[in-house]
Amino acid sequence: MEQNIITVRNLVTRFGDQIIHKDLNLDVRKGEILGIVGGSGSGKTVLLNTIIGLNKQESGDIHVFGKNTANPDEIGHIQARWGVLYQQGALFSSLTVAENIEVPMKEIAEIPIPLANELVILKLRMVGLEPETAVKFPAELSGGMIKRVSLARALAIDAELLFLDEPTAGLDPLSADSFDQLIRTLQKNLNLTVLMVTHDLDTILTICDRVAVLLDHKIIIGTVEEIRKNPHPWIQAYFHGARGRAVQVSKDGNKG
Amino acid sequence: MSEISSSTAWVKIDRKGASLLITGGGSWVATSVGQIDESLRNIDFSAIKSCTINLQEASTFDISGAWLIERMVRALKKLGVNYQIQSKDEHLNAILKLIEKYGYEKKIEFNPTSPLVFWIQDIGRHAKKLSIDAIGMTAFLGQLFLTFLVCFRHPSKFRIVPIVAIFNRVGLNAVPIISLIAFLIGVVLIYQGAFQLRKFGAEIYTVDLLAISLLREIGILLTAIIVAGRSGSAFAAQLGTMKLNQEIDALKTFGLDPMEVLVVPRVIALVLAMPMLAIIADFIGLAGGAIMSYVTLDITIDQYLEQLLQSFGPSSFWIGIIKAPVFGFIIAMVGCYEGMQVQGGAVSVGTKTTKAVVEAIFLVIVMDAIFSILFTKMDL
Repeated sequence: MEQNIITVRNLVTRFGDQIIHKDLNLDVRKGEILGIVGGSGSGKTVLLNTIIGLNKQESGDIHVFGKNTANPDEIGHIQARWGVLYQQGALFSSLTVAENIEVPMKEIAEIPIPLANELVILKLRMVGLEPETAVKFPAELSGGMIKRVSLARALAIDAELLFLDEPTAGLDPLSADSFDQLIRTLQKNLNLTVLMVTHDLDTILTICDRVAVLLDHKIIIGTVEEIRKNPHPWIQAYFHGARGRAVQVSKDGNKG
Repeated sequence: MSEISSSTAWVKIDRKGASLLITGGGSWVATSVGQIDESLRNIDFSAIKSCTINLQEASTFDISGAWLIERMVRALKKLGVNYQIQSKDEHLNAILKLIEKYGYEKKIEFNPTSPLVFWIQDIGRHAKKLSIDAIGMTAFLGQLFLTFLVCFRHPSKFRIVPIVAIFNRVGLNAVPIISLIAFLIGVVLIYQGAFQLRKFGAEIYTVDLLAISLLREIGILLTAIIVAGRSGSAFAAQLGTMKLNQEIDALKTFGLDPMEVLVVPRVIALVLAMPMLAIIADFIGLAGGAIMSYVTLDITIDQYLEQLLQSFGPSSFWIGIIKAPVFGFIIAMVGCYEGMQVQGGAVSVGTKTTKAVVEAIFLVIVMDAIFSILFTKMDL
């Protein structure tokens, strides 16, 4: 039986009168890449923030690694085992790239500085950056580089669970593609579990094992093939609209 | 899955002649590699012919743990030593293969300069920055005047709604705090003045002391300092954040002049708000003095008013008030200028906001000294 890394049961979140999620259920299995899609304002980022504890739910239970995130005694242990890539990167602007990546290394894992410096170089190389980037400040980096440094920071202490909020948004197609491949490679070799919010059809079709669609405050989940057959008009429009067809044609072409 | 707090790793190093046996155990993960880094780092491979790394007893590996092995492998390869890795973990090979590709030979200096050199360089950097700032602010002042000229030729370019909104924020909302501080200053001046003048039996002149010092200098200076801290900083932080968010760029691409849309309304609002606040500060300060005189000096309100009217002519009042719009202009201009200089990130917003307040207060006091000399020459 597959082990669930995240279980969300009967989740309700709201801002004032506006209901974001209603009786939402979600299971994320160990070792899978799960993509969350949905229209703008459907609450994808809110769901992510609620799971990682930045946003308080109205009711419902969230368990990560089998532990309740609402329990303040347990969340500390969970936090050391996950890494988060924020939409805007969220690098600390007063620290250099190396210092940014070393924050979790020093604060959580207590890795000595000489080793941390070596690991910073390794992690930067893994996310496709030159080690010279280490001494730069976030303000000196381009958008794509910020994303990569942010991923390196999320991977700093070898998290088992990665949350990615629109990892490929704002990247050029080539960078986005290598970003996808990187996440796939890491996930395979390290047995990572990845939960990502994305709009990128390429990413979904290339690397996601399953897709969760946020519709009408709830989630429809399945493999890409299952979801594509779902008759819901939004899903049909999403996967079979002009963009969806174009991506699919190019994928099929590559396979053949 | 092992618990974070309980992950431990160990190594044992046995040297037999030219062969080396490294035995490792426990879980080699990020949270435990710190325990074995030192002993693995200090191994001397130079006289070794063959090396065996036995990891049969180690259970879990991640990238940090595998890196320690990769580091040894690189050293061994460089020396051409035969080596062998024994492990039952199938993940380890995959991870080693993954990180093998990311070799890097060059040394990166994480802290390139020594603190002393950096400190000396910093003096030079500051001097350079100071001169650039002086030129920049002068240019900004010129640009502001030009924009004002354009606005006067086309009065419809004055934006009434933002001016009123900003006036409300920097003027009306500042009334309570300015009143409170002016009241307390009036109280303090009377109290301290009476204490000193009592020695000469001239307690009644405490009122003169308060009136002249408050109206000519303290009332307006205090108001300027509070407004610089309250509104000058707000201008710098707001414009700075707008610049970071590219809102200023967005304005420019619409063909709108940020100077006209953002800076001019702020300057006008503060130039109008300052005299109002200064007048309020004067009156409340004198009222505070009246109450304190009544309580500690037994001077009735009538006596106080009589003494007050004798003590100063209308010029004292106007000398204070005439400075107010000038100070307002300086505070608004410096605040907006520093806000526009923000670049990079959140740190920059912080430093520029600090600079805006410090420079505004500094320039206000310099300007006050100039006014002081001018008024003396004019026999006022």
